[in-house]
Amino acid sequence: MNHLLKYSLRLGDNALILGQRMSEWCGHGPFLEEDIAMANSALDYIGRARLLYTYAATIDSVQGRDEDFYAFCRDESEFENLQICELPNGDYAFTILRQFFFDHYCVLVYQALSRLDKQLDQLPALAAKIVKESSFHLARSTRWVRRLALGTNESHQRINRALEELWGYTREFFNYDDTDQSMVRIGACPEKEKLRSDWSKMVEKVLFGVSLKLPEPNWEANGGRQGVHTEHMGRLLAEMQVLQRRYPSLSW
Amino acid sequence: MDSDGLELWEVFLRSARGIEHKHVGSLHAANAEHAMESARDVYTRRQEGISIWVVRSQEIHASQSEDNEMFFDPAEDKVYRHPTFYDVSEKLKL
Repeated sequence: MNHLLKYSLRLGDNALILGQRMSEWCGHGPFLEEDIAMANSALDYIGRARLLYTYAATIDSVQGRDEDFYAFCRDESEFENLQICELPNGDYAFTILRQFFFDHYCVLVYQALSRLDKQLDQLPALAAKIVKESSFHLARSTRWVRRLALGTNESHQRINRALEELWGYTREFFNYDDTDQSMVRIGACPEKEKLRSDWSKMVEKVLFGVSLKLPEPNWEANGGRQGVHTEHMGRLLAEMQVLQRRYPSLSW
Repeated sequence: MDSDGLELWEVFLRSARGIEHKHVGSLHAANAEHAMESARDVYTRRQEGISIWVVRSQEIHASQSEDNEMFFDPAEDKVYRHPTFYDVSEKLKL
């Protein structure tokens, strides 16, 4: 599989798996307005997965694949999303903090992709569209992180706990392999150290501003890019894919 | 977490072709920034607007229905307040 196809599918996998998790909040949000806002963002992520998968199908050497194939007919080890995307939602602080970390990652990654020469490929145009969406997501999740951190004792404790749990998973953002490196070489992906420093600078600014401390980095998630997942991934896929697996080629 | 402690806000939208903001509904939010953000998600998902106003509901002072008689009834028989009541002189060039 060539690097561009692999990279597009990974971006699609991140978007689909996180979008699936976010959509689990639909009807269960903390209050009506937030429920709608979270479902909206979930749909943005799923829409993004569709764009990327549809694009991937056009460059896949295997004919006849489409967005549904990538979403519903691949097994766990073929999904190359980062592990942070597949973790169960936890409480709302956990959900929000994950969005905050991931939205910022998306803004940086898609900004780089959008700067590629649009004459060469349709991918930069897709990325430009996604950057707009992600910028709103990031503004939203940033405000929520502040609100929870500065809210009550309980909300502060919860966001602090989420920080402890999630920090190790954010390390995977910067764990590049050959595919990422080859995308860096054509200017489609930020350099690893640049991504790390831009992401950290912004995240630390927000967290320090509301008296949250970074956890000691004593472990790092790894393996998502190679199709190695946490124990939560199988259940997520089982639920998401059950219909297509049970009734192959079923359509609405 | 629930909507306790959040304030009620009224949302006004101006559509792409509209010239004035129109009231579209209300929502709960912690402050103006939060209200604006929620208004975007709750009321503009289908491209309903290109400009949003949010106003604290408590800042809106409404007329009371028990005042309706004295407020509005007296205008009933004042047809001369409509421009169409007046004949325009034929000499007047419009």
